[in-house]
Amino acid sequence: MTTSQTKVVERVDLGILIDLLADSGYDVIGPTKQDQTIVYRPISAIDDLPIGWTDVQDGGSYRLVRRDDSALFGYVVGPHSWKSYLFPPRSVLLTIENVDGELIFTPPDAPDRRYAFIGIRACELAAIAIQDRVFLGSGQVDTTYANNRAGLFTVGVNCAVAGGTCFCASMKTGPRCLAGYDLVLTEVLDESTHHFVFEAGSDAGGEVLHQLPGRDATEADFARVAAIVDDTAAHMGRSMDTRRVREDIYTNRDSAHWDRVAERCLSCANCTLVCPTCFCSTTEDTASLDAALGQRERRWDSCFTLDFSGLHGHPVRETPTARYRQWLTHKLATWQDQFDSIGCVGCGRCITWCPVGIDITHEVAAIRTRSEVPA
Amino acid sequence: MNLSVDLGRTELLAHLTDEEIAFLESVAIESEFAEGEVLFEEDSEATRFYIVISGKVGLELVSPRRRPIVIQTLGRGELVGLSWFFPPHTWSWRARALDPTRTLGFDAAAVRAKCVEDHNLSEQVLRIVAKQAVNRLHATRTQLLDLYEFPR
Amino acid sequence: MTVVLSTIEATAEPMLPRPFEVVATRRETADTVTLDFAATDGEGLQFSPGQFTMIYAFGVGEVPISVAGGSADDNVLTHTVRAVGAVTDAICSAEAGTQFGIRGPYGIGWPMDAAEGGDVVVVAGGIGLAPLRPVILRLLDNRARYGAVSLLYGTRSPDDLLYEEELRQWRGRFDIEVEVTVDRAADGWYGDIGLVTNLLTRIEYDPENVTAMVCGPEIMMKVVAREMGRAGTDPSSVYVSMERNMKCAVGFCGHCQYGPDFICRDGPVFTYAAVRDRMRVSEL
Repeated sequence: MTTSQTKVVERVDLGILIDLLADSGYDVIGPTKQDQTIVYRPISAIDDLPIGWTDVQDGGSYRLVRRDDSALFGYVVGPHSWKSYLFPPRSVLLTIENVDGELIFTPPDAPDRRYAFIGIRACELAAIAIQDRVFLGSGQVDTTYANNRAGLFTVGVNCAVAGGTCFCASMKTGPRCLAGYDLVLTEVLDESTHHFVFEAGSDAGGEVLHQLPGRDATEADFARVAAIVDDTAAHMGRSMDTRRVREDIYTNRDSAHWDRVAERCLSCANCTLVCPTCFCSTTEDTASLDAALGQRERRWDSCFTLDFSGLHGHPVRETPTARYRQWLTHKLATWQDQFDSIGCVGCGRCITWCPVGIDITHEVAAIRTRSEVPA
Repeated sequence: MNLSVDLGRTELLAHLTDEEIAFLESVAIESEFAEGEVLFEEDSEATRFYIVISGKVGLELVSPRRRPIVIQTLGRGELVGLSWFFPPHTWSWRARALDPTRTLGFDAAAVRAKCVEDHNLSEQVLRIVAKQAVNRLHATRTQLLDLYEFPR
Repeated sequence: MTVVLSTIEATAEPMLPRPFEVVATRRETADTVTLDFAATDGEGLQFSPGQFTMIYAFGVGEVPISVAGGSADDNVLTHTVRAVGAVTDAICSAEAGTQFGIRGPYGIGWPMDAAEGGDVVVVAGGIGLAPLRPVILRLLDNRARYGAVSLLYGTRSPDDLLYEEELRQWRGRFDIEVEVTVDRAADGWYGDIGLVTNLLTRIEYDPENVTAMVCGPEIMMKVVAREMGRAGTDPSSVYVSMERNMKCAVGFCGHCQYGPDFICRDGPVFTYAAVRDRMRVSEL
């Protein structure tokens, strides 16, 4: 099979990419505008993308507004992440037949589909790499995740705008897609042109790229791409200093600031639901009324619920202070012990979707302040 | 003295000097209590305190309306009786052997009198009594949490 | 670390139980029952002392329960279960013949090998004797490999004692010292009254050459480890068994995190040295 490593594709030809992937049997998922947000749903044409829209984000605030151009990817990330597809909010673990008291356990069949994610951002590729370590790379293999992950095709997008709550640059995950993509594109749009500079990241990507119409990319094209991502990196809405963050959090486990955050925290779990790396889940058991058929389902859980730490009818983490401390400590500190990486990619969703605007970058700075004071 | 136990090797008395051990030996007698036999009665004068060599002693609260309630049991190496050291030198609990029990009994009045003139000994004895009291306080506080019923 | 996808092999379903049938039940206390299970396919479950399984009650749910005994060769798996919720209620009220799903065993158990050659002090509180029962049986089966062996067992009241018949047998042996204490007792109790730590001073062991295996409420384990530490035992020779909410038992569900550790995978047995700092933090 012939492959191409780079290509410049005109706006009018981009729809071919979706057709190629769909024709190859992929379920093509991409950003769409729904309920005044941008969410990831099945798409069949370029027109399904949020053309000409952008998002204005800040702590506890998200608004879609019109751009003054027709950019296809002129926004950042919304409340959904791709984890909804790889690690779905609900999935069946088992069905249990009860034949006169005799139990027969059957796992669900592996789904007969492959996903193609179009428009995945650098921070989100980093998030998938992190969940890979959780579900595939630490001993046991999670069947649901592995099945959904198998054959995944990704078309990354180098961000041309930075969101108000973005901090991928300081987390070193973006705004340029670094790894894990089959194809990556940079949208180039001004009064005279609207095209996409593509690079292949895998053989599968190269094969698809070869079939797209366009010309080879030049030095000038790559210089334009570099200028775009540099400009994005320079306009991050937030930043986080990750040096020694683990040690600082452990040292400040009894900081009074945890209580101050908890006074505002509603324990609503929004931050964990929008987070592209949060992986906690619980199980739910049901049985048919005639007790002939049972089912075990897994669904997303959150360390912010009381139930999460329940032991013999009593929660271990009873106070919001303890629950917020657990979440932030896990994300930035214990995650490093568990999976050799930080659990945050700097996408900013937890800041945007927190109803009271609690900001992980501010809180971690406040919590570690004391340890920065010379003794 | 004809004690079957080497006092100096008793854990409780491990930090005492040879002279102090010799003194305690001079006021100690070894005695056996049959199961159910009383070492001392509640509110009685504290004339003798004990270290358990073997067996088991219960500290009991005598209730007019029911059989005695055992508050705590004491076994090998433990001190039976703390109140002897403090005025008015009367016992707060009844001590009763729950098993056949061998003890070393010490003349409380003699130890008190010696402590008045020997401040080093006084300090050592106070240390021993206080340590036992602290241990029992810690244990009692932990028991009050009712851990097994409400694990925490 | 990047996961190389091509090297991933989906092994056996980690969440798939096997059917087991209850073959015998024994009531231990008002709310606690010991059950013997047999795998319906005849293939017994191999475990190490201190490991646990996940038991699924049809339509109700799944709970982690320590293995309390059994033999894979004889296809017997013993669990002692205290009824504290819907699933454990269902297990405790099961009769012989009832089927459950069981998967496992999971976790790292007690240091049976590391303990060889020295004294062993087993300290249990309440239902905490259940995960230590296989330890005692193993110690007695291989008695010559260990020094002085003691079992210290504390419960709330004499009515809460597990395995009374076995306790009596063990008490009658000369190669294990057994001391039992309760928080409170009515008439007719001839054992000890007081905290389980009181018993530590009464038994023979070398504080510097001992392995302690402790299971009970966290505060009890902490107090035991502290007292042993004061007597000269290194915190890395004291082992405790931790417990947290658990849904998957294979490190995916996140519930059992205890600081950096997943109790299901990195525990449940830890050295006190490893968890001492964490045991000083509340609501962790």
